[in-house]
Amino acid sequence: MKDLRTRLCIRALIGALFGIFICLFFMVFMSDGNEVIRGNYYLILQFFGSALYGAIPMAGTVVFEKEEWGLLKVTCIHYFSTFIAFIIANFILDWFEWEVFGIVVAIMTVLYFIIWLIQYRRYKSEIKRINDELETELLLRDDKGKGERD
Amino acid sequence: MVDIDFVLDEALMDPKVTVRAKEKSEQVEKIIAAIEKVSESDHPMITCRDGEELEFVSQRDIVRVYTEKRKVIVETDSASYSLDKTLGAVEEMLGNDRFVRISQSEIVNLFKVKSLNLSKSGTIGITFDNGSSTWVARSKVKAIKQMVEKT
Repeated sequence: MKDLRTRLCIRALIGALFGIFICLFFMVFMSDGNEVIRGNYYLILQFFGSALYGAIPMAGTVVFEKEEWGLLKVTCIHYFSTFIAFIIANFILDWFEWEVFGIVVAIMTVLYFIIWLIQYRRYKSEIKRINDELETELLLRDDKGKGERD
Repeated sequence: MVDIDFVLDEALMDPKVTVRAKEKSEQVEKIIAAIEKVSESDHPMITCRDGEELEFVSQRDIVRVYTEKRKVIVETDSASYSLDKTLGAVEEMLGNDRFVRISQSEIVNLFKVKSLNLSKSGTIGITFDNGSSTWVARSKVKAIKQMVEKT
């Protein structure tokens, strides 16, 4: 199994590439034409800023490997690290007007909540099935007068 | 000549062998020895350390095996022992029909498990018949479910 640092680097790289792809997509298909006016410095800043903003949430997924932490804790840590990165990125790269920024954050929060809820309910359902099986085994033994499982 | 009867009993976890004979002859002792040999090869006793003494612990009695402060600990209902092996080496010795890895540092005997629970914070706990408890890695829940459904 690759060590933590290696996994962190690989994920950061994948995230950075994804961020660059999104940046290029917006520049090519959703450009207002002002990028050229803003100059090369702006373009380079967008490029690296997008790479960094892609790298941080992707690298942050290693927190989910901290198995002894609860699902809520790891989800919150990932959410806040992404949120802080988003604030910094928006401040430097000027992606959204601050009025719109609030709406984007709200959407992000709702998405995180939905993902957490789906995961939580999935584990709850699986644990219930396991407990039902464990109870069935025990009852089966008790019925046959065999007492404990062992 | 030996008459062999096979009775299918789904309530039994392990095969139960009853040898019936007029007397405990040499043939009967050989039969019992052969059965014990097969049983032992599938589920060997685990040699543990209780202080300076060695103890042979039956896999049936083991509740869980876990690492603590760089040591491997074997816990039964009545005692805890240390083991001079890595957790991976112990995992290979334990029968995969009753033992399952629940985290990087712990293997449990599924037959000693009372229940699992999910806290509001999403931590998965496991409670054993003897009252002790520990936590389960989220990634191992599926493996536990598959094993429980198989038994």
